Amino acid sequence: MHKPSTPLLSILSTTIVLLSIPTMANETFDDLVIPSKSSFWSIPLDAQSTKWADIKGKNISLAPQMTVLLNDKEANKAIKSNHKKELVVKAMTNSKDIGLYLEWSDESLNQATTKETKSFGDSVAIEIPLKFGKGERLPYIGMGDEKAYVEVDMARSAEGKVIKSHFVGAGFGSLTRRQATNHDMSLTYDSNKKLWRAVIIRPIMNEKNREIEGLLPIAFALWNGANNERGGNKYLSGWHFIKLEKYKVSEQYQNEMSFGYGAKTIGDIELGKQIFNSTCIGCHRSNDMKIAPEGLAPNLMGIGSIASFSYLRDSIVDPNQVVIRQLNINRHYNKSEKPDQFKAYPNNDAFMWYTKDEKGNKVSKMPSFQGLPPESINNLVAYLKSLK
Amino acid sequence: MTVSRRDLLKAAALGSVAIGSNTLAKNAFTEPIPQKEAKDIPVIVEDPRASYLNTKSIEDMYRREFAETFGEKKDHGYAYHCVNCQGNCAWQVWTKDGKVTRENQSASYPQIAPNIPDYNPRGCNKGVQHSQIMYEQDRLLYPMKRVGPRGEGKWKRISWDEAITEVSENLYNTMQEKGPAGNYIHIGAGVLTEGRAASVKRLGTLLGAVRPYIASYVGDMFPGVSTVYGEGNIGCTYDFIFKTNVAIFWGCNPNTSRIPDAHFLWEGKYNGSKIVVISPEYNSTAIHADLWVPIKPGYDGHLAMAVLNEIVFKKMYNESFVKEFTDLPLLVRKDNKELVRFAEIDTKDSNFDSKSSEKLLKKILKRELKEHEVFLAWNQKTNKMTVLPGSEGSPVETLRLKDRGWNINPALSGTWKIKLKDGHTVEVTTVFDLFKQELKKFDPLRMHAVTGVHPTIVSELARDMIVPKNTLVTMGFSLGKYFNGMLIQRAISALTAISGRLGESGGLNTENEWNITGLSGLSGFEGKYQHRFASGFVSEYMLGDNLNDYDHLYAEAEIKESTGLGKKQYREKIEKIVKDGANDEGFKNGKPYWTTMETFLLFADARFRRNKGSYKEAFLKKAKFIAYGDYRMSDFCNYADILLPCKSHYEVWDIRTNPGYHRFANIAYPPANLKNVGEAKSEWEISTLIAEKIQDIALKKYKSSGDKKAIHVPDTTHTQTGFRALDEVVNEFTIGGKVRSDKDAVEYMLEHVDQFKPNSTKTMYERGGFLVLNDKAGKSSPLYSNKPYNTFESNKLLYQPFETLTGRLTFYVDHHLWIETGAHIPTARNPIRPKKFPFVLMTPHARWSIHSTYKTSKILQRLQRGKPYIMINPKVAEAKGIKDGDEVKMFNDLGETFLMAKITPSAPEHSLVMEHGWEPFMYKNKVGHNALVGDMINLLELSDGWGHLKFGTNWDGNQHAYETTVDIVKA
Amino acid sequence: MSKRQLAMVMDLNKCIGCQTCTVACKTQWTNRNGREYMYWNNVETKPGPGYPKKWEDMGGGFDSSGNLLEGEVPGLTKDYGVPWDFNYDEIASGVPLVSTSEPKVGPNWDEDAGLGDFPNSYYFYLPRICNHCSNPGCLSACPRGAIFKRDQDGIVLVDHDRCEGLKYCIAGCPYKKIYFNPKLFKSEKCIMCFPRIEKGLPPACAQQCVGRIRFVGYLDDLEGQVYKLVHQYKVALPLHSEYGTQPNVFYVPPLSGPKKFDKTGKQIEGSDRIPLEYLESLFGKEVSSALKTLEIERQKKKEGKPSELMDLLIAYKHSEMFRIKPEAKNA
Repeated sequence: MHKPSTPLLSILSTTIVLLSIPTMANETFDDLVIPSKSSFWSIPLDAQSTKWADIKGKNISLAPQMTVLLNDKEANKAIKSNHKKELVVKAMTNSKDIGLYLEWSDESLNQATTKETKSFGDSVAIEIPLKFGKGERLPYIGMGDEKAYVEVDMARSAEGKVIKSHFVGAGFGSLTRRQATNHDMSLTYDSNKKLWRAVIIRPIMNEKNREIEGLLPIAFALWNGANNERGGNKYLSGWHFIKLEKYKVSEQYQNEMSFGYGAKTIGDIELGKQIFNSTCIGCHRSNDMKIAPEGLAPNLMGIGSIASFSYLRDSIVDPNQVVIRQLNINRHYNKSEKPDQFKAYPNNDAFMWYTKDEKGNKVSKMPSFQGLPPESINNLVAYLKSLK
Repeated sequence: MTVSRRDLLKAAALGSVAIGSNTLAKNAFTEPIPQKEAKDIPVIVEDPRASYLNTKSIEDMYRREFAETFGEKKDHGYAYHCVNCQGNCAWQVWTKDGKVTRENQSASYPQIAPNIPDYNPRGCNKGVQHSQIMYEQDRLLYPMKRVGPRGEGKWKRISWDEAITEVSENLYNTMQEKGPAGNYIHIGAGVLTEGRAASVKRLGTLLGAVRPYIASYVGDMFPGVSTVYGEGNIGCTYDFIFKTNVAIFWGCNPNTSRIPDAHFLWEGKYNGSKIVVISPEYNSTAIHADLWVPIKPGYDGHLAMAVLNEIVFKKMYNESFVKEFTDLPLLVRKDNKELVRFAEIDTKDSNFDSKSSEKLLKKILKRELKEHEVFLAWNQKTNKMTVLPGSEGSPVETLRLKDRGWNINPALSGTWKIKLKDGHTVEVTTVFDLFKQELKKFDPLRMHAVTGVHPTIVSELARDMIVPKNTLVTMGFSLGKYFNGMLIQRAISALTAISGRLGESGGLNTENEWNITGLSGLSGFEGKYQHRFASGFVSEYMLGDNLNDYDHLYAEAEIKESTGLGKKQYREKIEKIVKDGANDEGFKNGKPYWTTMETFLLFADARFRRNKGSYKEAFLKKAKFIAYGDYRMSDFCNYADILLPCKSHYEVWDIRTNPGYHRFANIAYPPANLKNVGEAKSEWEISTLIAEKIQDIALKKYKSSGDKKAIHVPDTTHTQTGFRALDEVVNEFTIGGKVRSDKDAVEYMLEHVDQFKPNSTKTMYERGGFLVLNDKAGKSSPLYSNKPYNTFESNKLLYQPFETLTGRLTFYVDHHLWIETGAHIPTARNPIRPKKFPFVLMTPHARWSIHSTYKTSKILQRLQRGKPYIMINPKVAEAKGIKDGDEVKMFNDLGETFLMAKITPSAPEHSLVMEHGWEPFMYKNKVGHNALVGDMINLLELSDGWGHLKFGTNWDGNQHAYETTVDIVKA
Repeated sequence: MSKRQLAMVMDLNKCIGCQTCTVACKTQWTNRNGREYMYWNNVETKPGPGYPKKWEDMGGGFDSSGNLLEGEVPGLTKDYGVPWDFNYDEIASGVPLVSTSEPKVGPNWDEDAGLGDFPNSYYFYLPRICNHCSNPGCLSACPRGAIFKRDQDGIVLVDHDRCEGLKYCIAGCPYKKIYFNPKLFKSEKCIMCFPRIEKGLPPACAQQCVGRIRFVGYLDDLEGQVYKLVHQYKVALPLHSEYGTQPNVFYVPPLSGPKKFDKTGKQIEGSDRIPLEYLESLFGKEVSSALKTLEIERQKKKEGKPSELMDLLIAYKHSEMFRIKPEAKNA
């Protein structure tokens, strides 16, 4: 059903050409790949186990979620757009499961408690596409989209215990609890080293996806309770890939996924900025452009930290392919329209990110910029990727 | 074995109902994700305001929770909370699985007329949470025996039989050794109903034990009102306030302390009534008033006298009313200030109008002429002295001045010479002239500095008293708690009296009481046995050795200022009267008992919360044995020798009528299948068990000794037979086996009380937990089915005499003590206060408790400050360096107590304000604010035997509570 | 948007601050299961910090053009107050009765305090429940869309199947009338006692209000007191309408109360004890005309003339204050 549509493929083909243009060094695909160690035995839930100690971790950087602004005053005050968090990831597989060891530093232990209304538990989550493989674009990083779902495994710290949840998601606010047999998690705080260690163990594949490409797309999120972080107030990574030792990496898949990476550059950042400032800032905010009203369209501050080249390109060329959910549409009502007999004002459509066509399909309000010359598109992508 | 406190109050055994625990949605915090919620497709909500799919799941959760509180209608009971607020409200009691879950006002009282607001939903913030405290961890579940020193808190659980045996043996042995007056059997203000309270009273009367008068020991008497009107409990049903043009609330705060009735004020205000509040602090009623009069505490009498001054000297009063209904025209001898009585005058004197007096002296029907109780006035028609009709000793029972045979127009002013039987000629004048003389001292301008009330407000009040069609003055219980409170009440009564307001036109409202007949069978023994009825204020005062506090607290000058006598002199006067009057040999009606008692059987009586100064120490020294019945571990429990666990309001049968704030009698009708709480028993059950055990002991003793005294305890003063027949106790107590339980008592009442007819427990249940009193309930006015009630309509319209010596509204009292102290005429005296401490301690009635009842409720405490607090004016707080929430020490020469400071401009700078009712064990060191309160018995309140001022429910003094000054510092 | 809207009018001139409503609500819903600290109905003394403490400074609601504003999540210990318990099981052993945690702040902490200088200080009572707003801040703030408005009566509810305990709703409600249940890890709020209404019983806080200050009915019921007081006589006003949520609880504002006194203790004619500016800060500019209407109508009664408005507010029959049957007239 999620058959990649032709325009997308055509872009991919053109991109391969572009890859060969030699310029300055850039983020390489390897930076996104997390090796995994296969084991005959069960994967230890105990983060302190020597089995984990033997594996060398991969450092991944997480950036604050800026695309949508939530309404917790204190949480918002704590957001620092350019601030990054380091997460150490180790992966282990056996015949049926994959285990992830996650380690990050945190000055304070914060737990949800039954004794305080204002307690927020430090938390961690991983996100994996429900479907992936050749010709499958990656879901939107923010909990997927309605055409590409994600699974989320989350561990929240709470009064000595861990709240384990498993969800399936299709974008902001859509996480839905889901049966989670054979998933397990541990979450422990090391008060001497002031760091958290989590282990998440889950089936290596979900039944729905048989096609194995040797690369398992995965993204990570962290919440620091000290800053009221929960839900959309969080730090997240872009899509990464776990290299499954036992499987052969599909070259085509790697090519699709690695678009834009490794190349010195795919375009001219400065020229990209000019295009952006002339065409995009009416709706989108970015690191230095804050003309558009907050919430009118996804905020692109730091988008480069979490979005892949291909996602950025797709969203410019064919926005309808990557319609992303917005937060509760009641957040903006239209004061200029007539309220009903109970003074209820209708929602403000200006803040809708999409409309629905006659068939009820969601149509992005952002026009397609497929018409732009390919190099302009690349310049724009290059610029957006540079926003960190 | 000594059981630990936890076994003792086994909360676990109660397991108060945990509603919802099994109906709530899964606890996401502690429980794994339930399978049923799992979905493979993300659920997307586009616009929850426009449409929502999954509404039912959460709706059902709350529906299930409601069902668990509501239970089933057929299991519901009815009740009220029969404590000393006297609100008397019909509540529906909801239950589930034999446990009470919550209460909801019955809200089914009928509307008496379309233009009068109804009484629904009657019930307040305290009644609405009884269901919560009835299963609280301090609930008494089992009989207990003290095994350590008093107050130490060492207890042993015992059986009911062991408890009843020990109590009965003590009562019996005391009767044998000390006589009946050695026992003190009393049910306190925690249970004030006709049905339930009758149990313990009946037992006490049967055994000849001493019983104190509650109203006077809590300071809720209206002796000053009785002086003028002949009775203290007068006034209206609260819906009458709705019809007033002006409603004055003097020394009371209905928004806080009359919660179920307060709506009538504000509905009355919308109906055009002017609401006036006279109170020292800016209280919760004042905030909605049209006029608030911030009076200096204790100077209310001065204000009343100033208003009277305005009315009298501006001749605003209605002369014909004053002549017909008051004693102001009565003749007084100038030489000795005594009223001129028919017995002493020379009837042959030419100044005596024998012609018109003739008819007035002729015996009619049963009414005898009692010459000493017939009074005279100067008849302007004949310019002669004439006897007046309607007095105690007059054969003519009317106040009419013109009738077949007589036509009197009494002079209000003048001086005349009259001849006495003994030949002397004396000068006489009128009560009115003497009153005017006294009033001169209370000129509004001069009073301004004293009362703090501006003269313009005094004249506004004078107009409000006289001009409107209907003006009502509602007087609070607080005024009687000042040392000179009796004089304050009397001055205010004089004001309402001279304004000519009776029945329809308003007047004075203290606390209306219905006329309930047919209960004598339940409360007494057809005169065979008399009770030993002790004056509440003297007996408690003497029992507590409070005279010593008086010495500590007050200085010579302070006593002189408010009594006219020196400290020593005053004390000696009191001591003499008290000594002469002690015990059976004392005043008739057995007013003064405080030396004989040593064995105490008490119920629902927060002694040490209520009493002042050194009372606790003195009482514990004198009490050889204390058995105490209550439903919870109250402060006083700690000092009992035997604890008897009682049922609380939802577990018993009962009926409550008085006081007459409304015309309904409510029923306590336990919910069907209600599970017993621990081993609690009703007061009726307990009293019956004691009666049985005492008879048992007596008969055994008689069998072994053969001594008749074992079963016939001599009592010459208070029995017809000369003895108390202990071999008959059970039969006599249970009325031949008819009344053994609380339910029996209720059925007895419905059968015998005329005003309840026609009704049964069934009709009361079906109606919503109450009955409507029939027309027989009215005392001095008819109780119309469609009109609010107010007293004295019959006096006004039918010229019926009042229940006073002169038959008239009484300004003048020629009792020698009153003349001596210059109180023969209405006047005002300064409060009695230690000057060395800067602040008056004001402890008005609480919003959050009925005295101490419900003070310990956590649900209510959370809506307060969780500990005793005191309200301090910001300027005072600043000067003392005290911040809101600080702990402060409040002290005077009697002691110190610790409180939380609450800073508010509602409190005046000259006083500290604190809601009363905190139990001693709620304070640091268990020392409450009452330990700082001193008091002196008011001489006038001790006086007795003058006309209608005879000890009884209408004439007794008050324990005072508002005459202490204190200081505070940050602790 | 809901088809109909159930609404409440509270008459502050009849409110006596007794809190019977508060306790009735507590025993009906919030004395258990992590709700102990919650007061779906509370009564606070105004002026004063209220409950939760200083809720009016905590943000939420919408800006003048209809965009959600950020807000704060109140803390249990700091703002609501810990519902202290007592050592009931120890007093039999002779120790004093003390609270198990030190009382520092509570739902009625500043009862009867008010502002100004004695004898000219002022205060009145303000009962508060959820406003079941037409543009609810809580509903709008929920990132999961877990809060909805019932179609048939506009009652706002939280779907516990969907609520993830994120507390954005609490920041979003400018009245702080939605609460976090730390035991259930879900948000909860006043439900207008819909299960009672379904059984023909009015909401506990309204039916059990002994001051008889609360009218409950549908806003489109032209025969009902709610409609008449809000739309016909315009004497019932929303609280803090500037918060932009379109509340459906309305208040009859308090008349000024007793006159103030000058230095000598003489009444100052025409003095307003409660400053009009303060009332306007709560109920908006409309408050003065509402108060004038009340005075004029009361004067009629004083002169023995009829006044439908006064008769409405008097509410002669308690049972008629509630028009909660769905069939109540629909305009």
